[in-house]
Amino acid sequence: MPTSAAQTLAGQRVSTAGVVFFTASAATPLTVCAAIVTTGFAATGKLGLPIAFVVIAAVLAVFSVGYVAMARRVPNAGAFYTYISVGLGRPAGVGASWVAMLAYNTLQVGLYGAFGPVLQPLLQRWFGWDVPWWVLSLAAWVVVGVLGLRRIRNSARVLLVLLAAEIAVLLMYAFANLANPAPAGLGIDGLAFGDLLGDAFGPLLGLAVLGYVGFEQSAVFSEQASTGAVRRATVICIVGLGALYTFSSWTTIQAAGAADVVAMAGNSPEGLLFTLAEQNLGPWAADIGRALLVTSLLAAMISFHATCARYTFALGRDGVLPGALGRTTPRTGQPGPASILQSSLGLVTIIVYAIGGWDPFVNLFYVAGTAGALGVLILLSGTAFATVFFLRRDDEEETRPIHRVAPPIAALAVTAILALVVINFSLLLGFGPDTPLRWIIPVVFAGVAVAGTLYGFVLRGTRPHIYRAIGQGAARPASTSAPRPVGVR
Amino acid sequence: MPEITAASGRGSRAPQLLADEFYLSGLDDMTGEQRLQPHALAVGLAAAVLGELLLADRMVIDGGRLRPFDEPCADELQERVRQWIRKDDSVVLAKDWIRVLVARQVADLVRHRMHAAGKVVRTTRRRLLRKPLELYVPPSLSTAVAAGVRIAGNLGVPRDLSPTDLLLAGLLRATGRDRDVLSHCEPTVHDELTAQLRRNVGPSGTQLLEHATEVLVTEAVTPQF
Repeated sequence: MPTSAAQTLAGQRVSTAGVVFFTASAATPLTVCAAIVTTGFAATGKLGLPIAFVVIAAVLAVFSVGYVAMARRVPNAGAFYTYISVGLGRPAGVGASWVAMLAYNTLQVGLYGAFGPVLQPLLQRWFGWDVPWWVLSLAAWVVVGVLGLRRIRNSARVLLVLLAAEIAVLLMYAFANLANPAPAGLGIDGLAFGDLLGDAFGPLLGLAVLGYVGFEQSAVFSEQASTGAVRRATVICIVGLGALYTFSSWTTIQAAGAADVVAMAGNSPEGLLFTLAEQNLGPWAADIGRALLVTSLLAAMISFHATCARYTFALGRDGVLPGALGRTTPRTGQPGPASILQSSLGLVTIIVYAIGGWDPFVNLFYVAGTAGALGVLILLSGTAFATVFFLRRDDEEETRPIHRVAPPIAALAVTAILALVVINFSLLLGFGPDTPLRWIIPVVFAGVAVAGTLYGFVLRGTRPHIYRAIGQGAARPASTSAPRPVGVR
Repeated sequence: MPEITAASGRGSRAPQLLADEFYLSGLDDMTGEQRLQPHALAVGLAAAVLGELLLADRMVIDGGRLRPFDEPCADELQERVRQWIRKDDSVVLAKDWIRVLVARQVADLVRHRMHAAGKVVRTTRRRLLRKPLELYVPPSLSTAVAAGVRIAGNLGVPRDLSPTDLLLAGLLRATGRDRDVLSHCEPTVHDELTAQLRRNVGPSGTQLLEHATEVLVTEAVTPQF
């Protein structure tokens, strides 16, 4: 054999580029720049989103130091859930798993509320078809469901092409914005810290965090890519996405004008980005972007569907959820039952909103997106503390001083952001200060976290063999219905 | 006899070739098509070849690391793999060696061994608008179900499985194929298999099954490019 086993193994590993492409596509930059940036200006009335993206990139970069170091030592199938189990204890891990299930499923089904309403006017204008939003969302649901049951290789290639197209369009829009500035000319509006401070401080940071959701997917590759590749990919994604978001949102302010951008965002619920592109480049450019927004949403749904299925699968394997969910389908090697469960949730959501006649964009996409972001923030905070305790206990020689310094800083920063988001949640939702959702959503997440943690304690007392296996993820033995075989070293 | 199972001392027959049995157990006994997804089949076969070395007492797994012995194997494929492991210490963990064997097309090597031994014949099946399907099927498709019937029968009694059958059943469970192979059985058969996996698989076999499972699970949850 001409090559050593190590070389053969290295040839099988996922490259840095592979991890970057998948992780960045999970963040769906076009959806962020079109929907979140517009919401950020319209809901908060402030210009601070570009600097908020920079601040969050810095916080996540510090967070990623401990996160990647821990990913290297804890093979996982459930990411946040596994890390919190290992770092903060199994009951906290079960609580985190419930929060993760709720957050990612909320984010995923929320996207169905955007897909139909975004595609509907395009079909109307291009072909004269008047198709109800829920029919279009159901079509997307079929695509997501089928791809979720197949080997992920098929959908990853699609994601790669979509990501490249998204970035190209965003850069085209941004440079067109710079070439056509508002009468006041170019300035630093949006990049000054003063734009960030005030009532909107928490919501702006919360919206910015939502933009990066997906970056955590890099750690999923900790077994199949080299440690260096995961570390490099995480940094590249945070820095790259941060630069793209900041540049895009800052150029949006420059083109619309600091004085008018908030009003324009309020008048362009479908995306200020496209309104400006239409002005600067023509309707063709806006239509390309809108079409890509549809595919970007589809990519996000595929990605979050896979994440939901992965969490469900990990919990099924660990015995926290029914064991049938922890099975793969022999014909595909994919977690089929977990995928079908997620698809079922999506179907029920679409049907309920269609029958109820509620506005899918406002009542589903905005609410679910905001709620999901809160859940991910809770998980980020828990994981940050988990890395603090894990790396403090870990006495491996590879643990460097930065692994002890960075995690506590990240834990405090993320928790502070979480507190600010909760305090100003009504602003983030955009429903006015009196909406009951401002406390219902945080209370639901808190209740789920507490209930999950209590269930972890119940498992410890009543089903100790399942309790002991929590957080083992991929390393759990073949007999999913059984404790570890006798004689395991 | 190897330390692979506590019950290993009772067997009187020479160990069957675990990888061959695993390959046959993956076949659909009606169509001859392989029911396991190609990567799951490759991982299962790689683990099965390592299992053959354990069963032949040519290797142990200690702390997840493969430790081959000096005594050569009579089977050509087993000896080839043993030499790879013995001469190359750049990779030591069972899960990494499973991945290396998958990358080195162990599935083809097993098929060739079976073909040379006359256990399977190569056939081509034409398909409408798709390229022809190449199949390696046993001369009699009833051979494909033999191991499953034997395992189900022994578990149903219940009676301890032979070392080879126990590892085979463990690998079938790791790949999810056990649900089809044992689909006609009472639920108690699954519980009995679980009990025997806990009771009779020794440390090396347990680690082999764990590592094979870990490779399969990681594959299932990691997006592929």
